[in-house]
Amino acid sequence: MRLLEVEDLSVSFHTPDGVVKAVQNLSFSLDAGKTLGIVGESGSGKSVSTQTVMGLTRGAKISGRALFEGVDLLSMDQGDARALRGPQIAMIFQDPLSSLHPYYRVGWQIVEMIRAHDKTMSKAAARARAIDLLRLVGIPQPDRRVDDFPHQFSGGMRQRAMIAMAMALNPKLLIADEPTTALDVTVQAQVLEVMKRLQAEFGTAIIMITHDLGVIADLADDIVVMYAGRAVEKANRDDLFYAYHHPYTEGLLQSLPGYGDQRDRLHPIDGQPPSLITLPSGCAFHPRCPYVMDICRREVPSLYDVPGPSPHVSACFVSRDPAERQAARAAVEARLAGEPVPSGGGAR
Amino acid sequence: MSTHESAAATSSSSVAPTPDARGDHTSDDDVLVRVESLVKYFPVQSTALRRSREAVHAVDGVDLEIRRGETLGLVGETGCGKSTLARCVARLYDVTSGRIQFDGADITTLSRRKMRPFRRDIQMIFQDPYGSLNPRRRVGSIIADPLTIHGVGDSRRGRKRAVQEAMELVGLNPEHYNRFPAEFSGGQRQRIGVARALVLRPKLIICDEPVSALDVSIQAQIINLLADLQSELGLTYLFIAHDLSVVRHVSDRVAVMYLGKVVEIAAGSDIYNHSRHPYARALLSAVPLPDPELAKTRERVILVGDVPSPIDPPRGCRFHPRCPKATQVCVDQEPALLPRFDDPPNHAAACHHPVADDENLADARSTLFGDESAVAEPGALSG
Amino acid sequence: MTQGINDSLVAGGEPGIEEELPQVPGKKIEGRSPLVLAFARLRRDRAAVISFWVIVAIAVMAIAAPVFGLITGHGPNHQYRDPGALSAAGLPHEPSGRFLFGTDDQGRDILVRVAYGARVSLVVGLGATAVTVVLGVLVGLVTGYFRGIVDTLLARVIDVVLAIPYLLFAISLASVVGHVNELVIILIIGGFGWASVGRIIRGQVISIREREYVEAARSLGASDWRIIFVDILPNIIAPAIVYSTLLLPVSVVAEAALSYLGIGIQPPTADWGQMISGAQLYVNSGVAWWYLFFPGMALVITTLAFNILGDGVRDAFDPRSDRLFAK
Repeated sequence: MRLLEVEDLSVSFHTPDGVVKAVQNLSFSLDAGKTLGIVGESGSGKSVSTQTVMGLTRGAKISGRALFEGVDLLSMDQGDARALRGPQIAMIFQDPLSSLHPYYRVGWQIVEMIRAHDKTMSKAAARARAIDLLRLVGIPQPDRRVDDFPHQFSGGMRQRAMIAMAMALNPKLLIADEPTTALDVTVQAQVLEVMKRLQAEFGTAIIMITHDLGVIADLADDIVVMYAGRAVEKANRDDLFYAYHHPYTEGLLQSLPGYGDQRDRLHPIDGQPPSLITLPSGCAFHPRCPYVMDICRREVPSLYDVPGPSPHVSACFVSRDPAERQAARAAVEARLAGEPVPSGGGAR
Repeated sequence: MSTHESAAATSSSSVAPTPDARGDHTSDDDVLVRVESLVKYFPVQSTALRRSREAVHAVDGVDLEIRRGETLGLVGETGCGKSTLARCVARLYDVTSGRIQFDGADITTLSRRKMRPFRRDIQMIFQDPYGSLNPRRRVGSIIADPLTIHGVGDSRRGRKRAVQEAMELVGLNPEHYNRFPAEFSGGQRQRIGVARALVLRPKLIICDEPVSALDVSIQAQIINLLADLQSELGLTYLFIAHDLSVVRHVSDRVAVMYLGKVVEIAAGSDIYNHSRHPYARALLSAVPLPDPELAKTRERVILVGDVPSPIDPPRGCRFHPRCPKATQVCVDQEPALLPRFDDPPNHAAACHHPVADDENLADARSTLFGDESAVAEPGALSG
Repeated sequence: MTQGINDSLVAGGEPGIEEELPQVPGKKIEGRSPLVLAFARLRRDRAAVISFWVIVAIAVMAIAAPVFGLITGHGPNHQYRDPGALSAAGLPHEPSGRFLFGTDDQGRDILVRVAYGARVSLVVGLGATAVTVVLGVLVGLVTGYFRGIVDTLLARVIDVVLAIPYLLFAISLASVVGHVNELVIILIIGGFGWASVGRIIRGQVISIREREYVEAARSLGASDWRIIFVDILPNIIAPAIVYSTLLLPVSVVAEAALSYLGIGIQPPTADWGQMISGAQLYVNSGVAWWYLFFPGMALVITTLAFNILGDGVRDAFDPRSDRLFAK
């Protein structure tokens, strides 16, 4: 059994300006002890999807299923769902102050958290565990810092304290929503290192939500790329970085400044992300896509299998055959360079 | 008040700051901005009831040159002083001491009125595409601000033409002159900010994290735009960012700052391939690479602890409490910013123990860690 | 709102496409200002729209008060002494065909007096609010922007004004001035109200002056006054409008309260607060419910309508709904 299986999840919000289709027909799954990366730009629906799994999207219209160890979190009574989520699924956010209460000592907050779910544990034992956890996430002198208030911690330490709190109940799944976006790179490296170490030690599964392809490359086993509320490509890490299929994935990777060659022109994706209220017809990416064909404007592509040794799907009408995909790429490059398009190039 | 006096004293005691002095140095013609031992302290919350002598040492003795037509990248983490330095150059802050020369003239202590002609030549692009444009004003009037403030172009029509030209230059539809910022997306708003900076055709543009708030696919659009404008209009950029891959991509030279000081400065490729300062090396190695294979093989230096408080920075080398190569000399003596090994003269590092090209910093262990109580369990976090 | 953004996404999303657009000289692309957008949102708020029309009706009643007099043939201050207007015992007459709202203890037509009373309420309400907001915004702009000694001094003045017991001051002032008219009441209410508005606006200005666009203006060498009036003031207008609509009912009630206490509008001028005060004796003894009911209802409906409209205005100007689509 999969640890988490999200099936056909759709989330929409009613606003005075219209219905915001935040997530549409999203499916993904995650095995125990693995890391799933969800990558996308602002408005792609990457955060809303996991917030829905956590029951944090109030007032939204939700359909689909989210099976945690076979139990659907979305259809069950919300009180029961909370009781199930609490100790098993933990979440950390971009802003650690959203989960650390400013008026209580860090250690006290961890102790309360432990004792709320395990009433048999003594205060002293819970405190000892809190100190252990702080040591584990690399807080210096944890036996002293346990009595500090959150504001006495630096940004990186707060984020690590939040991870300690999230790990306090030894959850099976940790959802990390842009946990390092607000941090400097050297601090980010520290925090990611802590997450990797905890995962190795406790076998926690992680869902890592980020816009940073570098963080994903470092951490994730499998990756879901989202655009305008839909999954556009799902693959394991190596396939996604070295054998990507979807033009949006390609665009994202191409638009990054490379590590090797210096001062080349970058290859941005043209245009802007669409409004989630009035999505383009057909494939939502078609107005920005260099591969656009007539069918893309009419039909929403489903996730087609991309041939290869491991599961890999892409929501794109461009041919999945590696040779034809290559030819399509060459045709696009030629066109962008202003050369005439070779006949029969790419489009299926 | 005292800041003025001390700065004035510095400038009067050094070389005559008049434009005539330009001929004194042969290289001066290539140098657009020269910053000399610049210091900027911010007093800590001094209220009427409680006077505090403490100060944040935001910029603490920086020497820099920006040459005409180049892009100087300025990198460093939160609180390293890179934005403060840029704002001192733009004279948004009064400096505590030191000297700023722009286009041959000393602008360190110019009054608001005397500074005005220079402001035409120094423009800024800001980080936040939402915060840097007044939401209640039309785009055309925002872009026209530099013209109206400096009284350039007497006719309304002339100004409008200049604004629309600038809009076209940055890839905006000039017909959108009358729209409000809210009607544009983040990337387009950043183009509006660029148009405002361009409309007077300045000599220097200070870009303060111009792409940090943008989505990846939009970042590349703006970076390309800035590169195109530079080659078209011969602009000089001071480019500030915390994202090293972006800085390396746009910069001719890169300066790395830590706790108010420049710790290393070199041509872009040298900083990335031959960095000498352990902090620069660690900063580079911490950038997550969007390439799993490369990420696996490269050196990984994970720093211990946090950046110390800029109110009371460590003595000697400011990086010594976190440095894997630190020894007693690093505590006792502040290292000078000099070329190390056989580096070219434009590559300088402020370090007593510069890192050689083939050295693996991840294996290094400081001899100080035993008695430095601020650092805990160095083994716990180094990868 | 979204319409605007979508337009720009379609038309201005990508530079390549823009260049292909034909430049139509006659057709201007006009952006809709945040104020226009806020009013568009307000128009969709049913309760606010109804309240708005209620206020318009009250305003019409105030302006057309002489018409009420003409139709009924009753002057606002004319005391009818015949049995159809005052009972044999000299008590107010209940509502009848002749006096739709009944009469008061002097035999005056309550309907006509309620209509005339609306004049005082609206004039003082609007006037006092205008004085309060204009003073408050000016003080808030200056103290918030300049800080330093100016700020410290004015902040102390605000503290002092807020510390003065307003009613006691108003009572003693009324006795000093002697003849209290609308202007005096406006100055009393406004003179005490600006301090709290000033304090709120000051907070807003302090946060706005740290925005990057103010820094941008400063980096261009803009003068302080230009920054205050071109960059900051337009951003203060929205909150100022919101405070104004929320202050209106407060001012209306304050005027009624002063008149009720006998230190406001002096008799025989028709005024709701004064009428309520006069009705008290007759209502307590259970003789003339209409004497209190009609002016009371007029006051309640007016303040309620202003309050609901104020809530609507605040919601319409609250930029929260923008943010969802701004990115």
